[in-house]
Amino acid sequence: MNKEEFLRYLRHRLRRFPAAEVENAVSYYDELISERVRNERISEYEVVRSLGDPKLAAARCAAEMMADRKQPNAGKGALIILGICLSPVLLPFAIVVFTLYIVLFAVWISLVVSFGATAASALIGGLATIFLGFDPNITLAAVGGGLIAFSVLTALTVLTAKAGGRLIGSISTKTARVIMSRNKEVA
Amino acid sequence: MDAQMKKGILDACVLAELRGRDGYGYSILKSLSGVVNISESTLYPILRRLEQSHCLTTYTMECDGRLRKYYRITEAGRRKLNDFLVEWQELAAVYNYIRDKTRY
Repeated sequence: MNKEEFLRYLRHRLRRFPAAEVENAVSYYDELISERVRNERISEYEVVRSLGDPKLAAARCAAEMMADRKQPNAGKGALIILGICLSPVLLPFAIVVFTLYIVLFAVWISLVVSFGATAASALIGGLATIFLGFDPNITLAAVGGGLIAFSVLTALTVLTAKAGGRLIGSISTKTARVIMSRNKEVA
Repeated sequence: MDAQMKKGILDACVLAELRGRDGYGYSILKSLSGVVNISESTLYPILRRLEQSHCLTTYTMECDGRLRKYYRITEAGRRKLNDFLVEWQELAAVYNYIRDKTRY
């Protein structure tokens, strides 16, 4: 790989990061490779080869850039909470948080289930009229209405599931941050 | 060596290198490679981290038609370097204690 190829590869691996950050990393390597070629009188290829696996170089840059993200993501937040719940030091606090979680989850799940159940029953109700064989007009209206109700409620189920998940995730994150900042005083 | 400790050590090495005079990527790498195990890909995150925490500032100078990015230590950087020295002095005391205890 020559310098250009290396830099292009690096840029590609870091494409999800802000442009300024990426440029910073790329110009660092650009400068370094050029300097080594000039000072050590070896070819670009040899310098790039000595840099090792370009994936690793990219990964190290990425790892540093990620550390910047101030928000721990939802999953991490929940894990931190779990970890803290298990730590003896913050037990009283942990019990309260844990209870809150159980409540939140219970509400979330019951909402999802009731939407889902209503959706299912709407569909079934509509279809059932086909078999009960009445006035075709009524049957068609019932089936149509049932289908509409079903799709709306399914959409609601999915939305509630997603939104609920995200809400709990962000509550986790905020709580995690509060606990971490309190924890700093304890430690 | 513990990863966290190593991170701190390398940061301190870079700061120490820049304490007397400014440096650029290649010069820092050259000077440090005799002392610690450091590669191009480990140096970059360190420089970036130190700059982010305002321990370093940067400026660019043209050199033979190329651009070179120079790093300069800040007051915060000097303080951080000092903190490192103090921490390690404490560590050295603990080390001596342990060593003396395991001697006989």
